[in-house]
Amino acid sequence: MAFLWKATRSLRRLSAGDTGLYGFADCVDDDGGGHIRVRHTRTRLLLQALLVTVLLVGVGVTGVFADNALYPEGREQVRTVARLSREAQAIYESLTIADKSATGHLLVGSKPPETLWRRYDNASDQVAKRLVGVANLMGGDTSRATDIANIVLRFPLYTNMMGEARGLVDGARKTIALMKAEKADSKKEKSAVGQALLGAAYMRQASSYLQKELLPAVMKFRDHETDNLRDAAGTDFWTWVIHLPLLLAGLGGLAWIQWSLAHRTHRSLNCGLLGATVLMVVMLGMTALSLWDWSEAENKFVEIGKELTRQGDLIDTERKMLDASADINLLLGGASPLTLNEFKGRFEKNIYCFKQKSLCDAYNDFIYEPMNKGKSGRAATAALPGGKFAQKFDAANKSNFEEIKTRAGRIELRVGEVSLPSLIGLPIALLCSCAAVCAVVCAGLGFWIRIKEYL
Amino acid sequence: MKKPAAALTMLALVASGCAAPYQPPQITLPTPPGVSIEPAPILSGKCNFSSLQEERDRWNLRQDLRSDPRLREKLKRDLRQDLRQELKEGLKVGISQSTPRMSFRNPYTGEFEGFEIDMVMEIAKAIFGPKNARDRIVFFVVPFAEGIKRLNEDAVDVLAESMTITCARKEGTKDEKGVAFSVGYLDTGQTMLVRTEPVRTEPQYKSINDLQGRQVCSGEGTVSIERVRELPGNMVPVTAPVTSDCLLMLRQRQVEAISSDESILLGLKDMDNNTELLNNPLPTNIRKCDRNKKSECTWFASGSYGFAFRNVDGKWNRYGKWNRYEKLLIFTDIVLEDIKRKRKRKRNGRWQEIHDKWLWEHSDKGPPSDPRPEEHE
Repeated sequence: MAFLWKATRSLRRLSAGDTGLYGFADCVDDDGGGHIRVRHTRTRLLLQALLVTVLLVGVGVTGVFADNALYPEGREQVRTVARLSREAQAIYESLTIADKSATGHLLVGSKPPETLWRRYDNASDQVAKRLVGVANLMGGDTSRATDIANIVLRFPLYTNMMGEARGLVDGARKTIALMKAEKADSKKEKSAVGQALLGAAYMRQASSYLQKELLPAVMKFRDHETDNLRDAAGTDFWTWVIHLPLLLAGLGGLAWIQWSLAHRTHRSLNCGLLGATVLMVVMLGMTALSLWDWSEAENKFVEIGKELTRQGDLIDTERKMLDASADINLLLGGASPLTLNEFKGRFEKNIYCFKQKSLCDAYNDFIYEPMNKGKSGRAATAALPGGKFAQKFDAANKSNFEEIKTRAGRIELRVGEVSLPSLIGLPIALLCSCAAVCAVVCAGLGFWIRIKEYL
Repeated sequence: MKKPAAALTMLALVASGCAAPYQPPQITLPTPPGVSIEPAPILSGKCNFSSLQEERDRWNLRQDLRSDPRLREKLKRDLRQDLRQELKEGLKVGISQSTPRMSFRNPYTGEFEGFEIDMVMEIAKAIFGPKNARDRIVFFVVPFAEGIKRLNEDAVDVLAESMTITCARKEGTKDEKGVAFSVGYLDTGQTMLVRTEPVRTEPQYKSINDLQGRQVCSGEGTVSIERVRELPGNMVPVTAPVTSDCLLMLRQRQVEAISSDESILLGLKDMDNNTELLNNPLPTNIRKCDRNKKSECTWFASGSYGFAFRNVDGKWNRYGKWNRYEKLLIFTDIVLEDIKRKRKRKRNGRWQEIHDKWLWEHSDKGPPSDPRPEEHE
């Protein structure tokens, strides 16, 4: 306020003809309008000081913000999204394994291998655990919350239907074994067979629900997270869009003030402003370096996104193979609504026969042909664990599964490798402070001396 | 590009106090695959005059062939010889695999079993001999709604799918040729299956009147759903590709009753002890008890099941010029007539034995007679 009062007083003095100025004399007009020009010069000096201050503060603040956007939140976001994407794929896979194992009971007759329900239990436990983990990573993202809720709410419906099927099938199996041992009433045996058929109907319903509702929900979640990962780098771009022009404007501003002062005062360069300019050039260098890292990180994100897409394709192949396998179980177990030829078409579409010819040949030889000749028992034997078709299927499945594992490891490695842009926030803040000190102490002092000359 | 825009939008909404709170998605219990509510009606109705006359001629001819014992024996011998040569790949039979009692695949033995399987086995025994019969039958599981199509594609030689003999099926449609039926192998009638509440142990619904406006499920492509439409009470028809899926829906409380023939509903009742057939007698105006041994029954429609065969050109060839399908049809008629008769020194014929094994509480009057064409629905 005092400064303003003094400035006003000096203006009044100037307007009274006190023009004993050095260096600004050429700016003075004696015809009564001179005081306006003098006032203009002083205002310009004040504005220049203000501009330098604003630019320095702006550069400092945006530098810190840009840094915060990238580090640590940026890295955390990449990690979260990558993890969610991997989790979604793992859930997808576990669900299909669970379904294949459960529907396998339709083939096994009176002595089911222990492993089938155990595999189902393990796979559904895995799904449940991963869903808990995924829910913890949900954050405040409502779209992600909806995706996860779509899976979390559907999964118990699936397991309930399978649980119902399991109870009926296992209960009926026990009753029949008891009836046979005691040579008891055949009517009770018929009732038990009826319950097993009801169990098969539940399995068919559960399997259909999995394929039509639950897996698409998981696929949607996975696709969203993969998209998020691809977009992760793009979000940082905007902080740079603000920071970089401010930095350049700061430099330009300093250069312009320097030129303006030199031009008006016929003096050599202002040391304070020169120091501030040098510091700004250093900041520009750091920013350029950081931007270089940022573009590297961008490329890595894109690569990870591509890897995840390829991984997704492999998991889709895996899922389709497991779907095909569950379909075979339903067909042979007497619970498929499809005809043999409709089923063949679906199998060939799911398996991509041009890629996996040996598996399709095995399907034709061990499943389709026996079924076509009405030898469903022979086809069921081939489809059971250890059967001729099952061996071929497991071999094809194993190679696909190995590739998925290898790729998952590679993705993990790439996520760890992402070198996010250099830490620039603190140095920029420091440099900005130094530049401000230079500008204020040296240049400001210079300015002040000049301004004082008017007072 | 998306994120900043979304973040800004979100920020704007939050700032304005209009941010929508998170709503969890609504998830409902699924219905079995392929279920449809209020499906379009399928073709049904009485025989038209021209086809009725043709049917009468055919019926008379078949009656004549069967009624003369010597001719029948000669025919049986000749046809057996021909069919053994013509059915080189075995007898291809289209069946259901999920209709307990009638035709189903036993999950513990992997074998097909049921009333219809035993009937088909009698035909196979008569063609191929008792020792080879099981090996020479090739069972194909065919969805009911696809049965006639598969028959016309020659994928199967005969359909044994609890198919009621109707004029509409004999005549076919613009898109699908009609079929020829053997003489009936089971008289049955349509009724309803409902839940018994576990606590009350009594069905919530005791008569058809209680089901007014309720959802009632039947198998897709069956005449059962058409009969439900004709009942008073504006019931909502629902169809499932497999009748046993109706039972799932009944258990899941997605429908209130299943309507089908008693022979099928008995099998469904085996699948779930918490179900019961409607047991209150029906009003006389909708009751159809002519084939039921109880005079006051709960059947509101009745009919005979017949084996369906391909009807190549829609006409009946002269004796001696029969094609494979006609030979198989005549042979089946003769076999069914044989097994329906009581055996010497035995109380019952083979038909009754099979009936007692699978449908002991079914309330039909006994072996079905061959209904005249005008009696067909």
